[in-house]
Amino acid sequence: MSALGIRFVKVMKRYATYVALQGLDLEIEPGTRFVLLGHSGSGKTTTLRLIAGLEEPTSGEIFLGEQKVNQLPPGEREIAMVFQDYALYPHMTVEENLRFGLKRRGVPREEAEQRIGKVLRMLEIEELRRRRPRELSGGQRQRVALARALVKEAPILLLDEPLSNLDARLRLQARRELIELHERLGFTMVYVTHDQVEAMAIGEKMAILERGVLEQVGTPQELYHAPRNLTVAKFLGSPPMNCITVQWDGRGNIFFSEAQFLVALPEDWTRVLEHFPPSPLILGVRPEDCFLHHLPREGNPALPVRVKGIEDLGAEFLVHLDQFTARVKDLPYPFGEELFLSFAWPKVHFFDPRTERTLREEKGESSIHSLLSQAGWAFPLG
Amino acid sequence: MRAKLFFIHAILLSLLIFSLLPLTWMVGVSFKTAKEIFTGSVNPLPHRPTVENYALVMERSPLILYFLNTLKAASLVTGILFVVSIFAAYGFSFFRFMGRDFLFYLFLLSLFVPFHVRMIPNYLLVSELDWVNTPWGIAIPQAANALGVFLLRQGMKTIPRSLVEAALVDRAGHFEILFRVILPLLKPALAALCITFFVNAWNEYYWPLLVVSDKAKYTLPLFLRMYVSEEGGTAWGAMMAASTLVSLPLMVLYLFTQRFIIETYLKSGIKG
Repeated sequence: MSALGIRFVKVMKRYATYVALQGLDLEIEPGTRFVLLGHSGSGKTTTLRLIAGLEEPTSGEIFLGEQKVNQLPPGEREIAMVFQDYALYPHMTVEENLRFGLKRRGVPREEAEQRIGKVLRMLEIEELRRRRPRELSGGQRQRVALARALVKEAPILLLDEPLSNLDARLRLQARRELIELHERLGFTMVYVTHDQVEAMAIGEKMAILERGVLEQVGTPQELYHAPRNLTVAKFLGSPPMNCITVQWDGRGNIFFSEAQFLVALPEDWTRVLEHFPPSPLILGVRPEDCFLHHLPREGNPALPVRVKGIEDLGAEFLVHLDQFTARVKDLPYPFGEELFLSFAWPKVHFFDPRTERTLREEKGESSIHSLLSQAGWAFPLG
Repeated sequence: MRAKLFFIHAILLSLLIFSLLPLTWMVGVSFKTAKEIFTGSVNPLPHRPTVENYALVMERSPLILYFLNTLKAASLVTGILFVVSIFAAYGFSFFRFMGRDFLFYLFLLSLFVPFHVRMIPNYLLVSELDWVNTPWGIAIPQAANALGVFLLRQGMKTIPRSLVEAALVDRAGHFEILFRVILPLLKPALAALCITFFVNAWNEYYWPLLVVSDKAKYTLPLFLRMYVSEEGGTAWGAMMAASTLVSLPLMVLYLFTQRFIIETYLKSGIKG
């Protein structure tokens, strides 16, 4: 099977009462593992169903490869799909479930049997061949659903929250297997989930959708480290990014009103923000980019904080402070202890509270790159 | 727990007796002599069983002819209703179109129009079509019934939409989806529906009474009525023998299919 790319051009989907997708422009390259991430009602499943042809766009164009598919029924598209509830035909055995689609597609009987055997062996479920879905466990059903999709050897595989009905241990295993299968077979994979950990683990590229709007597309690294807006910043990471409103004085200082404390920004940030008039800003910093000290350090502006609680995660600790959560490796600090909090400044984000957009872009991506490389932080930015 | 179970069984048992009594009475009387029927004994079982009532019925009337007439009409009603209900229910369940639910409820409302309101217009129509005294005349007006569509739609609504979508992705057309995916899952409901339609049509008395005047075209319920004499002197023994013969095929049919019928009505949330 050769992979096919997918392209959305200004696709809008409106139901009677609400707009599920607003002018979506999206390009999925052939052979990628692409994850659509969003809360329920974000439009991620609608996007998937539009690719499958189970929904028709209200306006805009959808291409699979070079072919415009707006009106093409699902059966005529080069796709296979795994449904959230698996949708196995209850009255058919596992092999009949697999055979059904092949027959409809006019695959010769001999080839069909060969393919079925191959897929069942690949997923190690040969012994389930003659069982019916109700005689299978949840994990087995998930495999059969995947087998039914793979046996079609379609260039595009769509998965709608395929692991959400599995328990945590099986989910991890299935996730790994899915990635392996994709590496081996190389189809284009579109994976819908609301689980950001799953999304980052599986996706080579991912798109975050919120209320029918595409917020950002990129590699997991890009989305995690360079969120374009507050929605993306808050979506990824567990625990999520600390987002605190601070007052920018226009002269290189930010004021934490809750802590009643003025912090002088490093020069690099001052340069980024200097054209910005004095106003409230939202400072975003990930828990792992927060550092705790017993004493303020020379040259690294720090904020006095008090320990409110500690969570022991085994390999590390989450320290809950007045407004922040810090993720630290060293021994926990006792409850009530007064400490100083400093940040990995190149990894800090500032957002405009009105537009919720990052202020890094205001100066262009290139300045961010130099800012980061000066500070010795190297990671790819799109 | 045990006491509760006993109580429930006691109620069920008394209900069983109440529903079995008329049936037993019918069968019992059919084996009694005319003299024994009127001697006032309330014992439903005949003192000395006789088959002379049955002999009388078989001898005097073309029972086979009436049986065939009824079978023809009932099969016609069942066949039409079955096909129409399946397709209509599929449309109402899996197609999305403007005014779908409105149409469906409008359709359901037809269940609330009493027979007596439809009787005259239906008769005029049937007579205009020259269907008086024909199986078509008996069957077609009875086949206009929304119950099947309602029950099957209820059944189809329990089938997850994703199953239909999976079939669509598998390149199945609507006929394949209906016959290969939906209907195999609704076998019990379909069986129950068939039986219900068939029994109703088999037992229908009033409508055939209106459209059938030719004795050779009589259905079984009309035939039974011939035993009731308005001037008194009804031959009870013969009548009960005829009744027993008429209900026998249905009882056998029901015996084999009651499991499906009970299941379907339980799932539809209405009482039969």
